[in-house]
Amino acid sequence: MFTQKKNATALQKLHSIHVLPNGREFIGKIEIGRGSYQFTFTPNSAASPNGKLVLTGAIKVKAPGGQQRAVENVTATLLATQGSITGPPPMPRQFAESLRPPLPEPSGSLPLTDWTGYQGSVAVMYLKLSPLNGRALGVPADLSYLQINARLYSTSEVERDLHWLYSALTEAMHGERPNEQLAADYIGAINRILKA
Amino acid sequence: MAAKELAERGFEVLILEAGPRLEPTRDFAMNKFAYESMYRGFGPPGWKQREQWMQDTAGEFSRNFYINDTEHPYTTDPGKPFLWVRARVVGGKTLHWGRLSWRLSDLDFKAATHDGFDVDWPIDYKEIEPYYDKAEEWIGVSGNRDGLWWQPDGNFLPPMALTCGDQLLKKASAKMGISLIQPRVAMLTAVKPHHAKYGRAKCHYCGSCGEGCTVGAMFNSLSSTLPAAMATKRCTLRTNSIVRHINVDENTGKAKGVAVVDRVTRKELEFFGKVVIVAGSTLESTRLLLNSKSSKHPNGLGNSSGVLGHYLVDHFGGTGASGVLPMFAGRDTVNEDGKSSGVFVTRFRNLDKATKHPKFLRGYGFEGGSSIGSFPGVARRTPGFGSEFKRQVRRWYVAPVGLTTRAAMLSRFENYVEIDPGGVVDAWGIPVLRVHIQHSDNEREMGKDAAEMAAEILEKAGAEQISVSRQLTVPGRIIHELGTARMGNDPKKSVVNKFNQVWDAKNVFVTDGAAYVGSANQNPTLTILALTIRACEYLTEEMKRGNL
Repeated sequence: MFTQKKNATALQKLHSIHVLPNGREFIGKIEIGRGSYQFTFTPNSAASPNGKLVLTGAIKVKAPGGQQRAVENVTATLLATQGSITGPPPMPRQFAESLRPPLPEPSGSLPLTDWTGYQGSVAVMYLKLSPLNGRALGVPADLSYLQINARLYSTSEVERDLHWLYSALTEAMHGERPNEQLAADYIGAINRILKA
Repeated sequence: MAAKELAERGFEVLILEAGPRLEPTRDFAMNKFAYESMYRGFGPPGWKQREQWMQDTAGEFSRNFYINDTEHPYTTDPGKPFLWVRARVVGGKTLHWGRLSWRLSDLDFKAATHDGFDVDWPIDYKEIEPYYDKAEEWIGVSGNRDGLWWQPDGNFLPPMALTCGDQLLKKASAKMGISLIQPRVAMLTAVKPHHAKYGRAKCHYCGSCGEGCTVGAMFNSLSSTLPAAMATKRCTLRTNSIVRHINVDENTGKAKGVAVVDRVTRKELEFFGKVVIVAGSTLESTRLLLNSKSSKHPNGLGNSSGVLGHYLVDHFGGTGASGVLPMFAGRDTVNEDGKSSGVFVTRFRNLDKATKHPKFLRGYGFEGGSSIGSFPGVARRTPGFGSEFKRQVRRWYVAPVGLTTRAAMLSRFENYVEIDPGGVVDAWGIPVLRVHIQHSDNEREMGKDAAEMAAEILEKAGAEQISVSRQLTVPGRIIHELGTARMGNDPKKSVVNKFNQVWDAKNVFVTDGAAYVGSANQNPTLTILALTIRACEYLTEEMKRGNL
C-alpha cells in the first residue's frame, strides 16, 4: 500500500519561462497563480567569457495592473541548446563572406540526415539569468534561479539575422570543430545588431 | 498494461500520470473534418513553431495529446538534432500511435549471432511467444497469417483489405522476390467478449485514428487496459503527478517510493510502495533513473554498469519513393482513406546468406501503399495555377502511390542520453536530458539501398512521375526511441535482466522501450506489451517467493 507525505512550501520558485524573439529582445510571460506578468529581456551586449555566450541587458516586468519595473545589467549565460528540425535562416546578405561557416567535407554518395551539420540550426537557447529579486520586480515568486528558454522562431529580418548568428556561434563554439576566430567574429556581429 | 496485469493479480496499484485526464467527448476529434476549421486542420499560423515545434505529428485537432515544448526542454549537440515527441496525458502515446503490431523473430533477438555486431537479446522467440499471444489477444490485432519465418504469425482478427493500388505493389514486389503483406494493426475488425466488456467496438473506417478513437476500435490504454485495471477496484490513478526521482532505502538500495511534484499546484509529495514500475516511455524512464541518485546509486538508479542512457536508437525513415499510378488517373473518387493501414513490405535484406548485403548489416521494410486521402498531397508538386492546375490535381489525386523506409539503427554505445551537464531544467525544476545521437554509415548505406529499392518496386508496379527521397529522417522522427536501459544477462553490461528487473534494485522494473537491446526494423509496441506481461508474471512469482 502507499501513503502520501506533504512538504511545506515557501515562496514559489520559478524555474524557467518560455520566451520568443521580438526584434533584439526576448519576450514572454511569468504566470504566478492567477497573475500574468509580461517579461522582457533586452540584451545590449554579447560576450563569451569562459567559452560560454553571455548576453547582458535589462529585464522589464509589467504587472497585471500595468505597473512596470526594471533591472539593468542582468546576465544571461547560455547553458545549452536544442537543435532545430527545420532549416536555418539564410545567411544575412549584408554579412561579409568571411562569416560564412566552412562547408563540411563532401559525404560522397551516401544520404545525409535531415537538419544535421550545415543543414542544422538552433531551435532553443537555454539561458540562465543572474539571480533576480522577485519582490524588486513586483513578482511574488523566487526568481533566484531563473532559466529562460529562448525559442528562436524568427518572423522579422533582425530576428532571422540573430537566429542565423546564434546558430553559427553555437556551432563555432561547441560544434565538432570549434573555431575561436569565427566565434569572435559572430560575437562582434551580434553586438553590432544589439547596439544598433 | 502493467497496471492491468498487476491489479488483476491482486496487487494494490497506484498509477502516477504526469499529465491530465482527457475527456473523449471534449478532447477527441474523430468526427471532425479539416474543412470545419478555419485553419483546415493546420492550426493558427505559427502556433506549432511557438509552442509544439518538436511535436511533429500533432495537428490542430490532436494537439492536446502532446506536450507543450515550452515547458519540456531537452538539449542536443550542435548540428545533431533529435526529435522527441512526447505525450503527457492519460493514455499517453497510445492515443495516437501508428498501431502496427509486429512480433520480432530470432533473426532480431539473436541478431548478433547472425552478423556479429553488438550482443543478442537475453531472450529468444520461444520464450516470449506466449506473451505475444496474450498481448495480441488483449489488444486485438488484425492481419494475415503470412507464413514468413522472419516475421512470425499470431492469432489475428480479419485483415483489412488491400486497395487496387496496393495489389499492384504486391504483384510488383512478388516479381522481385519481396514479401508485401497486409499490415498487422491493433484495430478491431471483429469484437471479442473481452473487447466488448469495456465498450470497444469494431473499426468503422473513419480514418481519424490520430485524433482520438472514441469507439475504442484502435487499441489505446484509455479505452482498454486502464478500464480493466480500474474494474479490479485495486487501482488508483493520480493525474498531474510528475515523478522527480525514485526514493531508495539507504540500507538496502531498494526503492521505497517516489518523489512527486504536482504539475498544477506544484506541491511536493511522496508516495511509497513495495515495487516501482518505471514505464514513462523510453527516454522519460531513463531520465527518471538517471535523476534518482543516492549514496547507494551515485550515478543514477540502475547505473552501476555505466550503461544506463547508452545504446539509444530510433528507426529511421525518410528514404523512399512516391509517384502516381497512371492506370488510375482521372478515375472516380472512392473512399479509401478510412483504412489507414496501407501495405507493409517485410525485411528482405540480410535474412540469410543469399540475401546478404555487402554494405550494411540488419535490414529494413517499407510502409506505404496507394489510397486516396482527404488531403491531395499531389497538389504540392503539381506546377501551375488556376483551372488547369485544378484539373491536373483532380486527375492525379486519385492515383497516389508511395513507399517509405522503416529501418533498423545499430545500437551503439556512443549514442546516448545523460542529464544535461549545463544544468538545464524543466518548468518544475527537474534536470533534463541531453541527447547525443547520429546515424552511422551503416544507416546511410541502408538508406541508399532502400531509396533505390522503393523506386524499383514502384517502377515495376507501373508508377510514373516517381520522386525518390534520399535523406534519412532526423533521429527521433519515427517516434520509436528505444534502448538506454537495455536488458541483458550480464549486470556489468546491462541495466535490467531478462524480466525487465533492474539489476541494482530488484524491486524496480522498467517496462517500456528503454529495455530494448536492438531496434530491429519493426514497430516496437507489441514487443513492449509482451515483455510487460512477462515481467508482471515474474514479479508476481518473485513476490510470492518473498524475493522482492
